[in-house]
Amino acid sequence: MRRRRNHAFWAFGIAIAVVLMGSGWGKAVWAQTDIGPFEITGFGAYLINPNDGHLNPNDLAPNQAGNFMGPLNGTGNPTFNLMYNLLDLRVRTTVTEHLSVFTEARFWGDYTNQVDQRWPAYQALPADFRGDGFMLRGGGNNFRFELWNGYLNYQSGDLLVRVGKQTIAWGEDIGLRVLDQVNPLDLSEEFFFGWAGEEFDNIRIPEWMIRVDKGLPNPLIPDLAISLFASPGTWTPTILPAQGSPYNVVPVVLDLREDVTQGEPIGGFQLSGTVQRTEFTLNFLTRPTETAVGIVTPPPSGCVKDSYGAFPLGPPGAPFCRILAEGEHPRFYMVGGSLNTPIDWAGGIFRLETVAFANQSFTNATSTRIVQRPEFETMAGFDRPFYILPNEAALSFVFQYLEIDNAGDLSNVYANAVQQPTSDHLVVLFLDQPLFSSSVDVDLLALVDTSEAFWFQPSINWQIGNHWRLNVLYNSFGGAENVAGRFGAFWFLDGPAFRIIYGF
Amino acid sequence: MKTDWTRRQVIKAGVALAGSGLLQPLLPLVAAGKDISAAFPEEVLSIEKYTKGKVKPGMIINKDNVELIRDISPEGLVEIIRHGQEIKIGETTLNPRAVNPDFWVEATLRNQGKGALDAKGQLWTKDGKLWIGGSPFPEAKTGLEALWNYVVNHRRYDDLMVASKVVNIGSNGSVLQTQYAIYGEIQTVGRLVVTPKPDNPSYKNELHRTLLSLNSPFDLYGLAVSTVVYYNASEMPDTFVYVPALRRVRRVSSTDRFSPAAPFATYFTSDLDLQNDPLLTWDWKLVGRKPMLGPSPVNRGAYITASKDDFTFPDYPVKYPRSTWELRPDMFLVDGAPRIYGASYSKKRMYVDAVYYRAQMSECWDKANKLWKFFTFITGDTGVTDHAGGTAKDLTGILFADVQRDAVSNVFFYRHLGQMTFRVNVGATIDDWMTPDALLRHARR
Repeated sequence: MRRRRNHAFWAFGIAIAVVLMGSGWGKAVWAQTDIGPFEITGFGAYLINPNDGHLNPNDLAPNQAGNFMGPLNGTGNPTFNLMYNLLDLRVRTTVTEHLSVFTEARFWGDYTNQVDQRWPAYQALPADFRGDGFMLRGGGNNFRFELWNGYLNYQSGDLLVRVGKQTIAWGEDIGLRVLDQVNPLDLSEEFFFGWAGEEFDNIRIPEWMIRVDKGLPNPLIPDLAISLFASPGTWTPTILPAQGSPYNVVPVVLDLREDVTQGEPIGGFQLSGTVQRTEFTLNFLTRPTETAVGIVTPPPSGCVKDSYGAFPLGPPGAPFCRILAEGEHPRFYMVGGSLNTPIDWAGGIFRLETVAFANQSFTNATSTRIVQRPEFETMAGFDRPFYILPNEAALSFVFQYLEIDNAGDLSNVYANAVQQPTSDHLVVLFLDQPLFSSSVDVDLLALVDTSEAFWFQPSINWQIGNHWRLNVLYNSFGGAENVAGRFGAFWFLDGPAFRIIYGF
Repeated sequence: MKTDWTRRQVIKAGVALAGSGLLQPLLPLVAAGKDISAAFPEEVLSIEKYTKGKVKPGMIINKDNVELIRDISPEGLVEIIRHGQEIKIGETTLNPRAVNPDFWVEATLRNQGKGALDAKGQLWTKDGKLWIGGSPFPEAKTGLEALWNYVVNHRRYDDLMVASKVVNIGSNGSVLQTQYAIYGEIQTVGRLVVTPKPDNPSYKNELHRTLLSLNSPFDLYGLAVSTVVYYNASEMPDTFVYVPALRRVRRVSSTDRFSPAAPFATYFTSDLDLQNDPLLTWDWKLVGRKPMLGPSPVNRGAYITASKDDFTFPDYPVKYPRSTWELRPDMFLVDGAPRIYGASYSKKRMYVDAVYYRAQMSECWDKANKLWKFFTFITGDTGVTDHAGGTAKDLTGILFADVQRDAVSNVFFYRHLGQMTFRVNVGATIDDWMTPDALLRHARR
């Protein structure tokens, strides 16, 4: 695994070096910070996410050995859920008028289990699967480096060719990921409960891909364009928080192991254009499912001896075990599309987005085998500005409604040990009120699902000059939680987070 | 023709052309390559004579003597001088082509009499077609005609790309934030230099598209906004934004016209180009026509090397860069009232120079009818080729002043900045630059 990681890293570095040397370097550059021929931007962030007194039940599963993976001994309150420094360094340089290179490296220092020793099993930034070397992530448990994005970019007229580790995002929705399935997410630190306005910018994992965009001008749809992409077979799964960490979502009774097989390409295309004033896309994607489908091997054969185990392997005094769960990633095929159009009389934009999965993966009732069913997801949204405060900027109002429908016989179709309903619904409201010449933004995110669970996130974001940014949020989860595993299940993550950023 | 007539003599002689105070039609002089001195009474071409010697070229006007120019100044100019702006009085520029490229002036002359407004005030040719280039009403009679002369193509070029810097300065004089951007504009109707001419058949329901791509500060790096402005001046634009954090182009509602266009900005989307809303979404009324002070084309901003003390709108992070102003002999004063949802203004006054067919100043009043903002769009010779045999006359600086908060956003334009070189009429296309897909292709991250 290590040798492959080095190969990928050096291949990319050599490719950049060859291109730069061949060109005699680029023209003058221009960003907030310029060094020689390089545009340098990025930020350093320091984040504190205090624990508000709740313990993560996933880390406190029934335990007969007196051991808890989560907060030490399961007593008392942890002080922090998260504390880290992140340096995000973006470098762009132009080689010729048409050719440029962009890299985005990230350096983490995660101090959570150093400042709060109630997290004995805490592991920051886990990435433990076959082929994880392609992530170009290295370092120890608390300090890590990663080449996040890094690609060569050729752009001329209506042609774009981008080769390297990159991110592709689709769709009209914000945060729901109906069409946005190309890149997986790194949920290992704070799940996706960071600042809503940033969507997945810091957690959408770039993949190795070649992407070609080309305009297809024609008399009917002058701006018709196609975007094609494919990976060389490398891919990354959704990275979940490590078990034993504050944001862990996998009960400690399970020993979840990612079953990732490299060599399975990601591929797809997006056709886009504008008819009258309606902008549309048609999309196709196939890739291994990002988020693992846990397939359990029941004891005794699936019993993994572990000091955190909940199940005795034998008579009193015998070792304990956890249940082995293989994280499977069956390939899926997805077709879909989106559109947006202005509704002048309503003063806003209507959005629609829909996908059909031919073979969405679930499990049977005992989570011992994969069951596949067609699934359809549709998002309808509307957003518009409202002027609420005199002489202040307009309040942005974003409304989204998501419906997920499952087809076929669902009598033995389960996800996260919950029987899959015929349909699911989610309502999202996002409000943003800029104040003081738009230097301060007061935001509110509200997600409510029809199982009556909710996630509310008010936040305040303050810009100070060219460099400093202060952010505060409060996450609140709860509700009836009529269906297990929804937002209500995250009640233990209620609490504030504070972040200070220095950008350059 | 005598050129030393006073206004009194002109009126007495009864030879002034109706409504304009002209001694003779201006256009034949322009066509003949002459200056405007024969068209106007000398007293409106000489600030010294017009003010009876109180104000002379070379004088510095500041808060101590601002009352001297009150009668010939926009109220907003007086306000910012009271807040610390210093201006120098210059001689009136007699060259009618000083702030317009020659090809534009020639098209205006060539197409004189071919423009018409329908009952709604929409511009067409007299045979009902899309406008064919140049200012359509060189002898404007109404406020709406005067405004069409300007808004039909604010910048005058078929395409334009320029790098700019916006310096936002607060009431205490400190810089709140500096933003760097690339601005682009591609005209789809009334094209004069680059094929396709006179319009782009693929986008002929549009007037032009604009592009604003921000490079700095760090959290705006890569943000790009493309706006589709429709030929139908009653129709709201469409706006597409590439948001780096989302990695997508997102269409946003264009009804948000009255929010700061960027953090700390003293200007709204509505204020760009002085009148950025579709013309017929406001009600316009001509309220006056008279000599007024206007910015001089000697203000060349960052296109020339200048010290902080020069009166050329020098590129320095001060609240009120010094500038030179002159008496313009014939200015339309056109008042507008918005009919757009959320409008924060009760009124805007556009000052349209009857010689240049161009607006370079406007004022806005809040809902309580108190003066709120004063904007100056300074135009001069950039010295860069216009690819039509001349040099490009374009914006050399912008001052957006919030006179209530005493805060400003100053904009400077550059011949070269980073990778961007100021250029006009080079054949930039919408498909390459200003479609949603083009925004993705050009995304900096």
